[in-house]
Order: sequence, then structure tokens, then C-alpha cells
Amino acid sequence: MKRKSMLALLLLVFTTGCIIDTQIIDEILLIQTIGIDKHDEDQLKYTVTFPVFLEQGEENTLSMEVQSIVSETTEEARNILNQRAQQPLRYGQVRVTLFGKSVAEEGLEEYVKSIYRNPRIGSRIYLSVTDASTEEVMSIEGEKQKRIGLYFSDLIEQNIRFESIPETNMHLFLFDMYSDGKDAYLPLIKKAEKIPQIEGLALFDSDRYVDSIDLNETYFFSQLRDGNQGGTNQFSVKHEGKQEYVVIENVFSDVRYKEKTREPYPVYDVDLKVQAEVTSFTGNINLNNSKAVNQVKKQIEQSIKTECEKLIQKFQDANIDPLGFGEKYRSQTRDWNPTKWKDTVYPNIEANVHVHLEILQSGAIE
Amino acid sequence: MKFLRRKQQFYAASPRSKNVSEWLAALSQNNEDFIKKVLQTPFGNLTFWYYNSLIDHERLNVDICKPLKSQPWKTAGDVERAVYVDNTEVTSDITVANDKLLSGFAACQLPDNKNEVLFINAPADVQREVSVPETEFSVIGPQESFVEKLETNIFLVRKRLPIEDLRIRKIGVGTLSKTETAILYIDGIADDENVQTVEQRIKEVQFDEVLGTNALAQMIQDHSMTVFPQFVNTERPDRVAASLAEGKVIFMTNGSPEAIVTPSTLVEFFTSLEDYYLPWYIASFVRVLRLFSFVFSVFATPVYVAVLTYHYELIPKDLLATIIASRSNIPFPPVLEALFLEFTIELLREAGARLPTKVGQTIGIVGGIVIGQASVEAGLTSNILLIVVALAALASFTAPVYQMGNTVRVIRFPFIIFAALFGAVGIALTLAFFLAHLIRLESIGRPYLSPFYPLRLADWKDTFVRLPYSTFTKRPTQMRPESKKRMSMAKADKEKDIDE
Repeated sequence: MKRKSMLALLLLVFTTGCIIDTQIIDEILLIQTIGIDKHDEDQLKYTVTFPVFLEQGEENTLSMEVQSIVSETTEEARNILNQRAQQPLRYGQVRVTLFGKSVAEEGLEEYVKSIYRNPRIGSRIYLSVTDASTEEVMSIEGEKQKRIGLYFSDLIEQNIRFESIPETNMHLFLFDMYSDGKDAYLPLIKKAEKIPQIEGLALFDSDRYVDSIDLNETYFFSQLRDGNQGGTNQFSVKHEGKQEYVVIENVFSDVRYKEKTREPYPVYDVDLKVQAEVTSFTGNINLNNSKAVNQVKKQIEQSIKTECEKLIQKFQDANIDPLGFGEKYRSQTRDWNPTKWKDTVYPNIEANVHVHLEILQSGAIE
Repeated sequence: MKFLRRKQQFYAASPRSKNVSEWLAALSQNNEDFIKKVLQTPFGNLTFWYYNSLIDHERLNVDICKPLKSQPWKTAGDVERAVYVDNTEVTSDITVANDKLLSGFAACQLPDNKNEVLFINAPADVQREVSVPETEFSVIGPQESFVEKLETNIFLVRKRLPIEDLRIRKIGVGTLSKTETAILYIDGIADDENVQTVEQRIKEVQFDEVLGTNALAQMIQDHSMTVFPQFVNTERPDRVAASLAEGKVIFMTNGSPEAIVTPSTLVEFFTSLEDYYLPWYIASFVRVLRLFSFVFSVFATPVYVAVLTYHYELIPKDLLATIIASRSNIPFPPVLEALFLEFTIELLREAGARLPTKVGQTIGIVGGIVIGQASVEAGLTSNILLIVVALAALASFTAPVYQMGNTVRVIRFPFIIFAALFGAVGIALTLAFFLAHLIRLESIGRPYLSPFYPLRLADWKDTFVRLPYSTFTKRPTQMRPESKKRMSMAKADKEKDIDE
């Protein structure tokens, strides 16, 4: 017994020789954002940002460094980056990976996979497509440059939580990408007036970026996708012969898909329940008057319906299925055939959107 | 090498003469506090022999000498009747005589028969007052604690349990000290096996000088290779009474203001008597807090070390800048930084415990504020770690039983070292080791981790939480009580007419 425990202790002492290298937090550089661009025909531009904390100063000052490397593969780019880094570069704190439009159009699978396989990187990081080159989007001037590492993740996170961007992260992207009856989407970031902002969604066919929708369409898209809770949108309404605008904020919404008939092509009933409050409006609509409210409601319902149906038509025209009709179809089909679905069935399905809007309140101040 | 092993001699009493009166004379020559006093009375001369330090002189004069001067006497029987002391004995046996003299009897030699000696009890009594408990202080509840005198302590317990079945067995322990040890249990509740185990172990103790209750507890405990205390020691008579009523066996020694509760479980070290005085929901809250602080105190610093050394990806993005900024000027790896701070805190605690109260306070201020602040400013430690370590130290002081607080502080160190060597895996490894160790532990043969292992769900009502008294219908099964029922719920629930 004693000998055994001594042996165990001895083994423990020897195994300390196999200890992996320590990664003490202030002795490594933590990459927070990765950008991947196309440089020329077969070269990539790999851009990373990491914060640098100045040592030995009176004050701890933070500066953000952005470095770009041109190489054939991302692995090679990482090696080169590490060779010229003052301290080893580590990936555990990556929050966002941005892909340039040119890269996204050729397919993201190999890049996303290599990130996904890294156990230090969580699968809930954000992926995003940029309109211009990522390097350009990532270079912001002035005070904001200091926070560039977290800027994009904060931007996407707050848009998901409070605005109309549907839930997205690497895990969901890969799930959508690999499933037969669904196509993936990612937030689309554009630099407008020197500040990066979300412009809409980039839509994928498999892993290739094929189409995009703007913010207004994204609002309807996220309603149809998962009944998003946030988001504000403006609707034009005819009231007493005049064109007025009503802004509503979603409080709660819920979406149900029902397959009505299957042959010759499936017809879907999409029930969209929206509970919203009117935050502001132009003109003088008397919202105490239930008749007026009803009138406004009807018109908003109608415009949501048209927008949604237009959106679905657009997806069908592009032959992409980010809403996952295929997934619904597959779950009720015995001999599911993805190619048949994509080539013949999907372009011909019909979706009828039924909107039930409930206006909860029209503002606290009379 | 055999020549190195010299035969060691045990202590043996010095040879005695066979004759009592010669022996007494020899004693008075060898011991300067052994006194011979001759009392002249109208009826003859009496010779008294006694240890000057062990005798109450007022009693000797007033209760013994005074009546003998006025009351006529002739035989030892006359003297026994004359004095105002009940506890007397006539003997010629030197061994008995020795014991009597050493426990505060005065020997009285009659002029005609020098070898039949009468022993009269007149012991000196130096005793501290029963005072407020210091280490197990509670805000509400009784404020009395044990003292150094065994009889007083037994009195304090008997007062709370006025039943004849409260049994007390006394054993003298230690070849030199002959420490008087009392085993207390309630016959009919306490398991006989437990009583026998405790009694047998105490009887078999082979040591010359038993320092006190805690030393004795270490001599009879099941495992000596462990950092975990196996017996709760308490200075509160109410805790002893409550434990006895649950079927536990208590022992205490003369000269220590503490009692040892056997068998004990790990959870008991986190219970305070106050838990039973406060309403059950508040008591449960406090108990959960204590168990949480135990976990926090053990794991806070190791987790800090592991995360900063290996698992940087676990840090939330908003905390990242704060942590890196606080560490960027520090030349040491996190483990050295942590060990340095832990060492400082231990130093402060030890210095505070050894110094007189007033100086101790100064040390606390100097240590807490000056050293902490200065080491952060000098770039020796990060201020985040300072907070973590200070909180962990604070949490370790919430353990109501002093010994468990010590254990918590000690087991933190292997965790820190293994966190530095293997990261989170090291913490898990150390935890697995400690759990396996705890499962093996026993307290007088009863499982230490009960009621978690072995699982006894019925006992859980007094572990993480303390449920109301109405749920305590049965005694805890841990002690294998001979009678299990504590009360009848049917009787308690019966509605009675107020006039009845």
C-alpha cells in the first residue's frame, strides 16, 4: 500500500515534465478579431487585432495593434505572424472572424473549419462578412481604434439582442451550412462614413456568399426565421387620405409554419403573430380611437404580409433557403432527396403569410 | 547498528518503604511542600501530613483542627466523627495512601497506632469562573462555556439533561499525568458499540503526560494521516447536551475547557449552535453561506492561478483588460504571486493569534492595509489577486469549528500548486484525491462523509439546510441510536381544546 502510493507520487513528479507550456495571460498576445481577405489570385491577406498593454509605465496604457500578413494559407499566415510577434500570439480570445466579400464568394468552409477545430476558440464566436476588404473595415481612426478588438463583437451582439438581426454564431452557421434543407446567413458589415455598421444579412448557398438583404428586409427575415423579439420598423400608412408613417417596436412575435397541401408543390401557411407597441407616428392619428387603430393595424398587417412574401419570393429566385422550408419538408418526407428539393420543388413552393398584429400600447405620454 | 539502539528506560516510581509512617517521613524529607504538622489538643497530639499546595488551609483549620480541639477523641473512628468532613478513609496501604494524598487529602496520624492512617478530604480548589464562549461565540443562545475543572463541566451538562440515564464513566489516562477523563453518554440512546469503542481506545492510550482533551482526541482518532479533524471539539455545554440527545458519545478531561463529540461528520464542522437558535430559514441561509464560503475559500486562488496560467480563453471579454492591466507590471508568474500573498495572510493570522489582543489589532491594520496596498503599488501582486486572497481568507474564518478553519487554509496550498502545474486538470485531480480521501475517513468507525456517502437521505434535513424542528422526528442514523424516535408528530399535531 505504502509502496504503491509512493510510486503514484513519484509518477506525479515525473509527469510534471510533460506539462504543456504555460500561457500566462500577460505574456501572450490575445487576438480578438481575425479578418481574412483575398490578396490576389491565390494569396490571402490575414489580418489580426490584439491589444498591447504597455509595461513599466506609470499608467497601464492600452494600445491596439493591427497586423496583416499575405500568404497562401491561413496556417502559414499564423506562423509568419508568430515569427515576428514580440510575444506568442494566441487564439483563445477570438470573438469575431470577418471575411472579405471576395473570400466569402468563393466559399468559407475551409476557414471556418480550421477555426472550429481549435479547442481554444468557442463555437459561439461571431462570423461576419464585410462589404469591402476586412483590413479596410478594421482600420478605424481615432479613439475607437483602441477598442477595435471588441468593437465588432459588441456591434453584432447588441444588434442581435436589441435590434432585428437574428441569432447568429459560428455554431449556428455551421449547422445551417451543413444541413440539406437550410442555407446559412451571416451579418453583413459595411463601413459607412468611416464607421463600420451592420448593413443587413449576407445569404449563403452552402458556404458561398450569393446574395444579401438590407436591414429593412432583415427585420422581416428575422420575424419569419425565429420570431425575433426586438426590432423597430417604420410603416407607411394611409390615414384620412394622407400618407403618414407609424413606427412600431416589436415586443414579442411568434411564427408557425404549416404545410397545407403537398402536391403538386407544397403550399405553406405561415402564421406570424406580432405583439408590438407604437412608439411614434407622424400626422394626427387618434390612437385612442379603436377604429383608427384598427385601420392602421390592418394596413401594417398588409404591408408586413407583402414584404414577407416578397422576401420569400426573392429567396426562391436566388434558389437559397435561409428560412429552412427544406428542413420542414424533410421532417415530413420519407424519401428525402436534397437535389430534387433544390432543383424542382423549392422554386415552386408557395407560402402564404398571415399576419396577426396586436398593438399593445401606443406610448405612455398622451 | 544494533549498538545504537540503546535500551530506553521507562519511568518507574521510586522505591517505597513498607511502613506507612516511615514512608510519610521520607516524603516530607524529599518534598519541601509535603508538610508535617502536629496538632496539640487536650486529648493528645495528632500528626497531620499533607501536600501544602493541595490542601485548602481554611478548611483544615476550621473543619478539622477546631472540632478536634474541643471534641474528645480516642480512636480513628472518634476523629472521623468529630471532623466536619464526610470524605474520610482509614488505610495502611501505601498505594492507596499515595493516591489520597495526591488528590488533596490530609493524613492524620493518631498517637497510639502510627500505621493506621486516617485520610480526611480537604482539597484546595482553584477554579476559573464559567465564562462566555470565546471560540464558538454565538450572538443569541446561552453564554456559558466549559472551564478547566471536570466536575464543573459535568455539572453544566447534567443541569441540561436531568435524567438518570446520563451515564458517566471515568478513566485515568497517562502514566504520569493520570488525567481524569470522563465519558458521557445517554444509556438507551447512544449505541453501545460507540461507547465501547471510545472507552476502549481511551483505556489503551499509552502516553506519559496527556495534555488535555484535544491531545487525547489525537491519540484515539481513527486516522492520523489526514488534515481533516475527525472529532468536533466544543466548549459549549449546550452543544454537548444536544449531541448527547442525538446519541453521541462525549469525552472530556480534567484540565481542559473542551469536550470532544464522537462520532462526527464533515458537515458538523460547518454547523454552529446558533443554527438551532435562529429560525430555520435564516439558519439554512447561514449554513448554505458557510458551505459556499468553504468551497470559495478552497478554490478561489487555485482557479485564479489555473485560469491565468493556462486557460486564458475562459476570461470574459469585459474582464480581460482589467486582469491584464493589473498583472502587466508584475514580474512573477501567477503561482508565485498567489503563494506570496497566501503566505502573507497566513503570517498575519498567526501573528494576530499569538499577540495580545491590543497589539493584534494593530497587526491586522498594518498587515491588511499597509502590506496589501504597498505590495500592489510595488508591483509584487495584482490588486485583483489581493481581493481574491483576502476574500478567501475571510471565507475561511466562517467555519464555526476552529479546527476546520485551519484545515481549509492548509488544503488550499496543494490546490494552488497543482493548479500551477496542471491547470484545471490539476484542480480536478486534487479534488478527486481529497474526495477519495474523505470517503475513506472514519470517526470512531462511523463514516465521515455521512449522510452523503453512504447516502442517508433522512439525515439531509440537517446538512445543507436546517429544516424546522417538526421534521426532526427521528435521531440521525449516523450514530445508530438505540432508540430512534425523538418525538411523536401525531401527538404534537393533535389539536387540544384550550380548556382541557
